[in-house]
Order: sequence, then C-alpha cells, then structure tokens
Amino acid sequence: MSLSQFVVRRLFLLLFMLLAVTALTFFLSRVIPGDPAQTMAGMRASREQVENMRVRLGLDKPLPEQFALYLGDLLRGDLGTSITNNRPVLENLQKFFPATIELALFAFLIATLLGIPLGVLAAVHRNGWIDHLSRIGALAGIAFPSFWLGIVFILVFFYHLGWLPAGRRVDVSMMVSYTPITGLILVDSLLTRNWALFQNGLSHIILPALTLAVAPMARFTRFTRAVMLEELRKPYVLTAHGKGLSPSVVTRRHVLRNALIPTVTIMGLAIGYMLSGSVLVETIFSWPGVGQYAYDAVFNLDYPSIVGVTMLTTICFLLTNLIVDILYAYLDPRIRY
Amino acid sequence: MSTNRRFAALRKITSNWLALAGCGIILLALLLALVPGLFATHDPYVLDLPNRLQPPGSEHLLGTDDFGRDVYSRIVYGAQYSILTALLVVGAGMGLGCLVGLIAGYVGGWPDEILMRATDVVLAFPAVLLAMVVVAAIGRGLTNTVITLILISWPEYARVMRAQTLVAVQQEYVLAARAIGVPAWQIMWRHIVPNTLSALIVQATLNLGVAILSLAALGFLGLGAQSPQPEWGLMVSSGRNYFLDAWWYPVFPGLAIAIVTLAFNILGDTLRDILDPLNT
Repeated sequence: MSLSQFVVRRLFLLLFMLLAVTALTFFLSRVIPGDPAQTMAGMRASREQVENMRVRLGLDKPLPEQFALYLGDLLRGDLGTSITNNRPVLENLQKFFPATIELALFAFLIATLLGIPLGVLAAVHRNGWIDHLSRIGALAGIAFPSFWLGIVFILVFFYHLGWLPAGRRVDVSMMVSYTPITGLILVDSLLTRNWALFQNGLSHIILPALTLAVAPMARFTRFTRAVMLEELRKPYVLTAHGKGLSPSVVTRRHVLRNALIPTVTIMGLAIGYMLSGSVLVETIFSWPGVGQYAYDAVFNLDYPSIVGVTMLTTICFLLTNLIVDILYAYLDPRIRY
Repeated sequence: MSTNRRFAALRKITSNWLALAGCGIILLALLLALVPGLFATHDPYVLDLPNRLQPPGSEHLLGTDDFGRDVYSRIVYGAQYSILTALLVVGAGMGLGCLVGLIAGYVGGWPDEILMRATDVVLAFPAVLLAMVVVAAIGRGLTNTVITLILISWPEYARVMRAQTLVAVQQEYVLAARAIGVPAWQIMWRHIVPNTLSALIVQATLNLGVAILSLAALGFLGLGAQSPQPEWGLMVSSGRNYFLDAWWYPVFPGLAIAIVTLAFNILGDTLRDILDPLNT
C-alpha cells in the first residue's frame, strides 16, 4: 500500500470514529440528569413556556430522531446553542480554542526542549548520577498531580517570590492594545511588534505551561533514554566509533537521529494529551480555554457545549495520531504501509 | 512464572533500595487504608471551628482545615478512598479488559472485529473529558467515579491480552491441548492467562498510579468524592481557597497523592525490568 492509500484509508477510519464518538457523546449527554428545557426557559418560566422551549430545542422527539437532526445540523456547521451563555457553540469554541492551543504548544515546547536532552544525557551517562537523578525526577514528574503542582507554583512563584503572575492570559489592561490575528497572543504580539504585550503574555503563560509540561517532560525523558540505550547497543555505533568519529558526533549524528524516530510517536500522543488534559490546569489558572469551557458546561448541564467540546478535542486527538503516523513513515523510509 | 524466577524477582526487589522503599510505602498506605483508627490522632469528621486553619504543630501534626478538622487524620482516613478504590478500578478494568481481549483473540472473526472497534472508540476519547462526561451523565460521587474509570480503563488491557492471546494460540502446547479436546475456556484459563500474567501485572502496577491520580483529579473537579469525605483530591480542592493563609491545607494531601503514586510507579518500573526484560 502506498502512503497516499494509507492516508485515505486512515481518513475514512477517522470519519467512522468521529461518527461513533458523536453518537456516544450525544447519547451520554441525553441521559444527564436535569432538564435543559427548564434551564433554557429560566427558573420562573411557566409550564407552557418550558414545553415551548422543549419543542424549540427538539427535545420532545424520540432520541434517534434527535440524533439524526443533530447530525444534519452538524454537517451544516451548526453545533447548537450553548445553554450557559446563549451563544452558538461553534462561536464559543472559536473563542476559547486558541487559548488552549497556545497553552498546549508552549507546554509542548518546554517538555521537548528539556525532556529530550535530559533523556539523551541520561542514556549517554548510563548509571551515572545524572541518570539516577533524571530517573527519580521523571518518576516524580509523573506522580505529582498537575492540579497540586499548579497550586504550589502559584504559592511559590506568585505569592512568595512575586516573580510571575498567576491567572489569565494577559493583564486586563493590556487587552486594549491586542489585535487578534491568529488568536495566539504570543504570536500575534510578535507579528504586530507589540513587545509589551508579548512580555506580559509570556509572563502569564509560564506557570500554567510549566504545570502542564511536567508529566509529558518526564515521559519524554524516560522514553528517549530507553530508545537511546537500544540504539547505542547496535553494531553501527561500533563501526562509527571504529572509523574514529568523536563520541559526540556519534551520539548526535547517528544515534540521536535514529532514536528520535520512535520518540515522535509519544510526542504526538503528548500533544493530544495536553490539548485535552488542560482542563485541570485551565481551571486553576483561570485560563480562558476549552478546558474551562468544558468544566463549566459539565456543571451547568450544558449538553450542546459538552458534545461540541468533546467533538473538537477528539478530532484533534485523532488528527494528531494520523499526522504522527504519516510523519513516522516519512522519517523512517523502512516503514511502508 | 516458575518459582525460581519468582524468587529472583523478589531478590531483585529487596536488593534495590528504591524499590524497597516503594514497597514499604505501599504497605504503609495499605495499613492506613485498612486500619486508619490505629494511626489517626483525631476524628476526621468532628468540627472544631475555634481551631480552624491552625498551622502544623504538636497538637495538629499537619495543621487543621477550614472546619478545624485535623489534616493529618483526614489524610489517614482518606487513604481508603484513594488506594482501595484505585485497586478496585484497576482490578475490575483489568478483569473486563482481559475477558474482552481473550475472547477477541481466541475466537477471532467478527466478534474480534466488533470488540476491537469498540476499544478503538473508547481510546479515541480524551480520558479526562470522557470521565467528565460520563460522571456528569450518571451523577457525581465516588461510586460513579469508580464505575467511570473502569469503563475507561479496560481497552488498554484488552489490547495487551488480545496480542498475547494471538501469539499463544499459535503455540504447540495450545494446539496440543485443542487436539486432545480440552474445552476452550479451560485452554484460555489454564494455558493462555498464566502466560500473559507478567505483562499484565507490570501494566496494572503502573496503572494503579494513574488510577490514583485520576480519582484525585475527579475529586478535585468536584465530580468524585463529595464533602465531608476526606478524599485527597477533594481536600486539595477545598484547601485551594485558603492556600494563601494556610498552605498546609492543600499541600499535604497533594503530597500524599504524589508519594503513593510515586511508590506504585517505582514498583511498576522495577517489575518491568524484572518480568519483561525486552520492554525496558
């Protein structure tokens, strides 16, 4: 099978998965206790008004019919109206998603830039102090709950040291000077050369991004170490040393390149994890992203929003997996589908 | 696993101080969960408002919370909510997953196809979000959280079990058992399951840490255990509102979560080195 055939097949599979996920979320959200029609109509609405609202929302129809109607709307790009703020769900997602992407990408950058070099160092100095230290660090990194780390970071870096702000994307006063282009404040402020805004945004994103990055960073370190050790055992490394190449050249040019191929897989998974796992971090740092939106939606029984967020994150999750698989084939010419 | 290998595994754990410490912590945590009365210094539920938000000291080892309850005693009593429920989640998830994986791998054909697509769908969901949606649907509370986490965790085991089963059914001893007419369920139970056990034990130990973290996260979000249950995640969450004046209130329950999770991770890591040498 050629790569393009593989991609087409995977896209079909993606459509199937999306349909299954939509169906599952839809039916789950319909068994949520509470009455959305009552919520929408308001607590003081008469019984008649509530019934009218029920008809308007299509909640009086049988479930399969409601699902068919929902799918029809979905294909037209209509995700329904949020019960919490009465705005179209699609509009809400467009508003909140950039913040989540920015946070996840920044966290990913931290995790990659620190995690992978640490893994390489640990493998090269196997059983040395750096290896032991990184092992304990990595095991601890996976063990600390992100919501607790967030609180401790705020306590130390905001409250005691006063180095960094905690909460929101930028200071409220800075928002006046912000002109959205991509929706990512750091990128936009660079594009418009608004240095003050960039600096402010950067100081706001460090703590939440660090909190989100700790667990993936630990995984990157452990995984890179394991793959590096496996590569270091291979005969070509001996050959390279035999040719008289310096150890650092062997590590960088030969071993690391091969070791990075499998690492791509878990890096892709980590992006998916960070996009969806940001619920906890976003609620702690009042980060106005999709995670906080989902959290509010769950507590307000806002089912159109719940389904919308789940769809969006699942698409991201499945797409990153697809991209990883394609990238994998591209990086390793031996892999053919 | 032969007695010899089992003995070697035990020796390897006892010779590694890190793994030994991990085991010690797990044993202690189990003791706390089973007989909290032995360790607690105060009643974890009794309100003592005049003594609210007291710093750690001789009267209250780890301070008091916003209702004047002893944080240390609440952590002791909270162990059962974290550890016993995590064991339940992993045990039930593993049982369900193994059953699905065994059937899929052994029977093959369309049951395999259907079961595996079902695992794909569950795995396609981002876990935290799925947990939130399910808990919202069936209601908040510890029991529902446990059910949710079981529903989320089985596919991983199903995959491992299926892969192992597919290998095992090709082996001569399984073919031989089949040829002499041993019933299918007996082949699965007596021949296939014992051979997949070591891979599953490693997975399960590492997942105990994940289960503890997930339970705590749902508790923190207000979806899991409900007040006044001394669940660790919920304690961090309520302590969050007072952390500028009373840092001990959210910090110590969080440390408890981290220490126990760390212990399970270390044990899992060591077990993997021993039982599953190809996959280190």
